[in-house]
Amino acid sequence: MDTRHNTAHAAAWREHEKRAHSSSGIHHHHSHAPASQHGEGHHLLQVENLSIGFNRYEPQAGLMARKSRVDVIHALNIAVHRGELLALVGASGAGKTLLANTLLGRFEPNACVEGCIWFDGQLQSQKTLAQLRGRCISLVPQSVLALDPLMKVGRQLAGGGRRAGVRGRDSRARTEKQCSLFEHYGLGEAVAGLYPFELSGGMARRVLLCTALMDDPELIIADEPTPGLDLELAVRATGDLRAFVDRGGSVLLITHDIELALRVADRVAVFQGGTVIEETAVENFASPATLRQPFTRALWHALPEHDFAVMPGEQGPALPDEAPEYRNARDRATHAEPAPVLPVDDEEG
Amino acid sequence: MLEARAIRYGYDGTPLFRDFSLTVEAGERVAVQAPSGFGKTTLCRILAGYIEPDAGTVRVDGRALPRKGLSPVQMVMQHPETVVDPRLRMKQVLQEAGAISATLMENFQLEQRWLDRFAHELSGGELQRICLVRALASNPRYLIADEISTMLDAVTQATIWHALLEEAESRKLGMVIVTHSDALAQRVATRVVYLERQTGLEPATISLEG
Repeated sequence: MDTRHNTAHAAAWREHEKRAHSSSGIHHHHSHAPASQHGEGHHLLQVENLSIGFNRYEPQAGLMARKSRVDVIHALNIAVHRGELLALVGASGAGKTLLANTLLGRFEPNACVEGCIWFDGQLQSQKTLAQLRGRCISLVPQSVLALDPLMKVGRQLAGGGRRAGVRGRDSRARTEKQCSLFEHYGLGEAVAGLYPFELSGGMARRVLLCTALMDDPELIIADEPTPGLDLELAVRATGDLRAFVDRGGSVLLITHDIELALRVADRVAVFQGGTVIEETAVENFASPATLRQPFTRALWHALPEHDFAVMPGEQGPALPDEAPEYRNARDRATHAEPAPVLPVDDEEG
Repeated sequence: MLEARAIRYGYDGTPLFRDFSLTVEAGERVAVQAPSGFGKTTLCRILAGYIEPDAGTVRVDGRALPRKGLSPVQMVMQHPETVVDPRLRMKQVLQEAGAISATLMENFQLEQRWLDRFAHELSGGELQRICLVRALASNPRYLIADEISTMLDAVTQATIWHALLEEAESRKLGMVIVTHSDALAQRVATRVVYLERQTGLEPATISLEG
């Protein structure tokens, strides 16, 4: 991995690694993968003690009611190193998309954000995060609604530069880049001339991935980039994120798809109940026994490829041997017994 | 019996389906698998009556789908945020299908406090559960599930499908399930249909036991 840093700083970085990080199992609330590098002595992205809440009126309260705050994310720590792919895997409702939007400086008007976000050693504010957006930090959005419905997708990608003041030869270069990206992802020339509503779900996601790759960012935040793609394309889409990382970039991959994330990620952060409960190396996902948190193990067992099981009491010691009563769908389908109430995810918001 | 017979449909003269037929019995769960861009969502919309096919018929127990009122075929879509009015609170969204069923809410783990929220204050998974409960509240005979759990984490996916399979069993609900995941299809379907890109297709069907 050191070959990535062929500058004069490389030796200094390695020295820093030895002294401050490699020896310790966990620092900044996480453990490291072999690829985790501390370029210039810091993480590329570091989030410390982040809390996000929404100020809102109680719907039942009267006119003079005070606003109350609903917390969605609390005390969250996460760090993306240079040249690594960190997968953020977790329950829906944990606030993964909210985190992505916050990292891009996109706050809802009634959001209340506390904590520290560092990018490349600099403490960030909403304004500076917004300035980094699209230049240093790019997003692959989760929803196809992120596309402009009134603009053909080819122009939408290439034309992004025109709005930012790119003209002439640069503009042609962008069009060429857009074409080559489309070709790479199996989007034919005709696709560039389509409007977003004419794209299938899978095509739209590939177009969204291309938008992030257009501007050669340092950090890509990919918010669920693979649902809707069949496995082969999903592997290629994440494989390209991996290739971006291997060229020295960094990726925060937000996904629910553990299997896919494990194929490309260096480390995995498990998100539950509005915070990161476990940030660990990919190797630890080989078996549920090496996972520290009960919820992480529950996630492993719930995969259709594994047990498709909803573990009762996922907060407790839920090792498979100790919890034989978990069920799978086929048992229930064939026996159709009255089912117990399924456990509730301990969600905060 | 949900019966699509000799369906022909295309965009701008390019045929997506020609002579497409599919039959789903009550209580049967048919998983449909096909490559990206094949037209699976279009197929779902035809089966649910959102799109009129160019030729062919969709019938439930021999009757065409009603043009007005509650349809016996309900569809749950891939992107829940596109099928919920952003200016309604969840309570009103659920009431679009009639009275809110406490049992359904419990089965799908909807939390009471979500009912006062707007769509953008819920996650995709939470919103998808709202959509499922809304679809099931109208007591449909058939449910078309178009990639309903692709955006969900594994635990939520398993939770939703357990709840959904339980409902399907108790109501003898027929289902068409579109999914990219072989593993999921094997788990939830009673029959898997693989569609390939060809004209005049009669789908190759592979029957699974149980």
